Amino acid sequence: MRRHAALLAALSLCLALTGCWQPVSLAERAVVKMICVSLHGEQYEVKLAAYVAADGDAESQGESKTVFAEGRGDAVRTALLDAQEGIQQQAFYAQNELLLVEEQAARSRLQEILTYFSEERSSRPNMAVFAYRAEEEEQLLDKENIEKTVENLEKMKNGDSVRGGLTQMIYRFDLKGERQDFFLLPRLQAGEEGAVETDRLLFLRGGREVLSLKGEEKTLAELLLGGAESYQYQNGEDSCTVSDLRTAFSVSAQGTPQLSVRLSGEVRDAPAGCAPEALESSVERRLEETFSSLYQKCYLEQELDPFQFGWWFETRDARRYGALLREKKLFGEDTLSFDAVITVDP
Amino acid sequence: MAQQWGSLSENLEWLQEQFGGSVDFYVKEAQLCGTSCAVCLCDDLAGIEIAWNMLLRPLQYEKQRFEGGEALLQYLSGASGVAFSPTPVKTMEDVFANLSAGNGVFLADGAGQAFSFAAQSFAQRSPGEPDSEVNVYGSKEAFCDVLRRNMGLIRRRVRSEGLVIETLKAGRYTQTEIALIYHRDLVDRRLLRGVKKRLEKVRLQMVFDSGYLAPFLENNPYSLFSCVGLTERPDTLCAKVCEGKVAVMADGTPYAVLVPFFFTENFQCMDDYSSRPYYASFIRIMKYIAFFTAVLLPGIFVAVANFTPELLPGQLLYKVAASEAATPLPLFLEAIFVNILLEIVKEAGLRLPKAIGHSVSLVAALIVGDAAIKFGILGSPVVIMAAISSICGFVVPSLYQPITILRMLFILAGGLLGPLGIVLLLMMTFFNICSINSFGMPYTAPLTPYGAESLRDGVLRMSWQRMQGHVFTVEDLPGVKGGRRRGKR
Amino acid sequence: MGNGDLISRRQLFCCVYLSMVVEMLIKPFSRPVDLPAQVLIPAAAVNLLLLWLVLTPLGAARSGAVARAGGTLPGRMVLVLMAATLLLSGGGTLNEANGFLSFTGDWQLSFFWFLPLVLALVYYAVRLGIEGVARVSGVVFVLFLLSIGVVVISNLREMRLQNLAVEAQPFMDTAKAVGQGFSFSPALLAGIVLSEKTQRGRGPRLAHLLAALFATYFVFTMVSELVLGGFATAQRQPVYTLARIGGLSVFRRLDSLHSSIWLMALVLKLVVEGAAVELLLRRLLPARWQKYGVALTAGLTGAAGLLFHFSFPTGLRRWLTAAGVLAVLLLALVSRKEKKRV
Repeated sequence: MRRHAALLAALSLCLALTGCWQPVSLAERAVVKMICVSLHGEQYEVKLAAYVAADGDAESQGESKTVFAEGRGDAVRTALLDAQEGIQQQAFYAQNELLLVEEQAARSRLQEILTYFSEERSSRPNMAVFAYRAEEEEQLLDKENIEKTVENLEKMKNGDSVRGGLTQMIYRFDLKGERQDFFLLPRLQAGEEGAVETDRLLFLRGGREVLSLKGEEKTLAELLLGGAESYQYQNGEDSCTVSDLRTAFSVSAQGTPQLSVRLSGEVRDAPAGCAPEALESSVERRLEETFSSLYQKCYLEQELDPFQFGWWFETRDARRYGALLREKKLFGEDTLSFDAVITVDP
Repeated sequence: MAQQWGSLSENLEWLQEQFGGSVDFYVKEAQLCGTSCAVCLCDDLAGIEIAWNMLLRPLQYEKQRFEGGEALLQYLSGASGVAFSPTPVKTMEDVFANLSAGNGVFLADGAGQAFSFAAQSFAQRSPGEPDSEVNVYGSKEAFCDVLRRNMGLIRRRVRSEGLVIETLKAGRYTQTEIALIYHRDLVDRRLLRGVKKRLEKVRLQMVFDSGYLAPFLENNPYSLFSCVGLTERPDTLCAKVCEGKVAVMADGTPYAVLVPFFFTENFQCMDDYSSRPYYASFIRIMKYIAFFTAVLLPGIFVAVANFTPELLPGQLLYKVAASEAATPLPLFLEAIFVNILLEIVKEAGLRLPKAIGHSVSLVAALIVGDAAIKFGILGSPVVIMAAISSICGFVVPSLYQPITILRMLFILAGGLLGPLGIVLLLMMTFFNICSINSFGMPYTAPLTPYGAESLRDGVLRMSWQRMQGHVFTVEDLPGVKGGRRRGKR
Repeated sequence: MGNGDLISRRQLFCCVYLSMVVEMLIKPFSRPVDLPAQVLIPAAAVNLLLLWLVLTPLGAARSGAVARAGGTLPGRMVLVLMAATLLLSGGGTLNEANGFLSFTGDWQLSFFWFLPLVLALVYYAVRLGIEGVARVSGVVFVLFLLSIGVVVISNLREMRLQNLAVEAQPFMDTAKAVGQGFSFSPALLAGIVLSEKTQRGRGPRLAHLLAALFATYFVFTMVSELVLGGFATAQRQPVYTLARIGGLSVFRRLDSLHSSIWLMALVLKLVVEGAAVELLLRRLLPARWQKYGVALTAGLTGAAGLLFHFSFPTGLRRWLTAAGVLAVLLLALVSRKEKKRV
């Protein structure tokens, strides 16, 4: 009986403590949705866009408003802390999936920035990282359209965006430089009323930008990186979409190492009046030319391996091809062959 | 010391003394077949017309004469054509007990025994529809308050040899008749012995309901979950008896106690066996989900909102945050308050007379559901969570009590300690449930320890064509000590 | 604890499997393993084979080893070693659980609140009996499988074949990994003790347990590397990182759900080890002290937890491995001797 009385007393005490012992309530949190990092001289400048519960009566339950804060510091961490001071509520990062790095900061300090955000303690490994131009910062952080911007960026990250495009998560960056000595970063282009898309793919190495892809090369690169599921073909007034894209690789190690890359797909919306065979060969030719240009720029001129073609060689003979890869002697003019096989569905 | 048989007048005097001069003790003395006799009964328990028609009137016209009451009683038991079935009563104490049970007693001067005969004619409820176990299909009969009539309802359904109904008495001052019902060929002998042993140890002052005996059949009467079941349906009782269980019924109540009782049975009903197997399985799975929702939802909501709000999708997060900002109370306190209020409303609706009961729901809906939210005292998300949790609790009425208590505990745990509190309390609940044994049978069988029976008739329900190939009893469940498999036919 | 409580082989498998697999998931004080799956997986297979070799002599001594050991002085000393190993493991587990909670959550609960709450649960569970513990293990096992299934499914889209690192000298690296990675989980000691309370008959054996552990490790390591690539080698708890990344529909952050299930497995591990210690104490303590066995178990585990809270030994895993292997080999020796003598 005494045991039950003690249990009852303990429960009553818990009941009495309701409201006394509580962590930060939801209403007192600012849900950070986007972090923008740039440089202000030698210091980091961090801007936060956070959602807080709207004031008002119960009728307006469900509304939220955006607050902005900025801070500066010698390190990313101190700049973040400084920015947090500017928010009345407690910053809550657990739903933050967007990290925007200004182009200049990305060129010189991306390693440091990403290292901070990839630390396991403050780990947000599922953050998507984008570069942006300094002149577009105001448009990206426009109060009127910020919610739309965040929504569109999150759609891009989750692969739900109509415009598609590659998104780079923090965990895709090789921060130790063991396999890749460069960073690949998509750059944003702000549009009207919160619309965003990526206009370039930036390759950054050694504190500078070594390559920038746009247009068809960017689209094909995204395809090969798995960031796009269809290819938009445009030839004058004719256009069509190549979907169901699949890549196949085969390595030939006899004599000179060779990797064959075959890209296959299907066109279901061929323009009227266009002969299927002609369209097929036109699309194939375009893809092959674009690939050739891409290979030239990435592999031959800049000695980058963004599509990890070297991995296919390593699976054949890790010792031999691993050494060649490290010495950047693997890829030559004839190392890769690419062909596209497109079928047009009449 | 037992009362000795004396002359008729001495016996009647003793009985008057035992009844304390009660006005409902009726005696009709008469000279029948040359012997002084008396018919005794309790007015309103037994019918005087029955005694008259059955015994007194035929004996009035009997031409034979007997010297002494013993000869008359022997004649009545063996040779007489009088249409009544006498039961010999050997002691005066038994005479008293028979009179209290509503039987009539025939005393003859000079006899060393008496005869009792069935003459019950008291006011009683006839078997109606069950109040608590409502089914769409199947029988609409429920037990009534009279044990003998309930026995008839059972015997009507289980007509094979092997059905045994034993009676005993319980309650020092009520001497309530208790029936033990089982099937001789299917019951586990150890179970039967265990039940009898425990019932024999009952020393209650009074027994008015089978529920009084339930704690004596449980290992831990303070546990949140009961390992004895209650039913007011004859078909349910018969089904359980045919699975090797033991049922205990008390006179004066329509509810029977079933032993052993398993956790999965809370999610079963007779409709499951009348419906298609896929539908029955779907409904059972839905009930399991409803149970866990009823218990966990408010607590998890409070824990998530306060400690791990990242779990909430974005849109929901902002709505909950805005709702919390608009109300004066912290989320934790709001959740406790709303759940307690819902319990008060439910209890009020249950106890009030039907005429006023309807207004309770109206007042509750208006005040809690509308005005409090509009005025900003309570937030919509908390009220919605509490309402969903309550409705889910109604789906499993036999678990309503533990659901209510656990729900409050989980809110406390979630509000004070967040996910850690939920996890610890959930583990504690699991350990509590899983450690319950009912007469050596695991309460959580066949879920854990897992057995194929959970697919047969536990979580899912197989078709009758497949179930008919195997005679199932509770001994077939996994984890039953010394269980023997009856196997296929 | 009730006398004569017996559990099935399947339940014993669940208890020991969960106790061991949770060590792969929750290790906040460990160092990141900078090796690819191509090395880790064969190394794990070799290590499990070594474990099997260590445990086989005991298996050959048949059941009743603990009971036989309790009858002699050297045997009792072995039992003391086993109990001490389990208690230290419990202390370490308490700290790891608290560390994991601090790591995964915003809100920090003081260890001095955490400890009595968890110990109270362990005390309650051990007191209820091994039957209840074994049944709960079945429930937690199902939840655990669901959690792992969801982690894998929610990360399917992120898997890339090219993330798998290819080693130039896999054999050399594997040999090194075998040496560095071998460990003996005290949960196996708990399994040995609890096997005395297991029914004879059909059911999973040691080989099945080790195979299941290998399969789980294979899945964890492969999926971690397929999704995270080189990033996985920088993580102390890569599976937790996977749980953070994976999402289903509108639920983008399911890691707190997974953490809760893993925490349940961790609590179960504490309870299983506590139950084993209690059984050992019954053989070691005089009859009049045996009723305090559960309280003593909880108290000693709490003391170990406090000790490690103030100073967590970095080499704990190595010490526990050494003690565990020694205990098993000595137990096998003592048991055989006793069996021959009888």
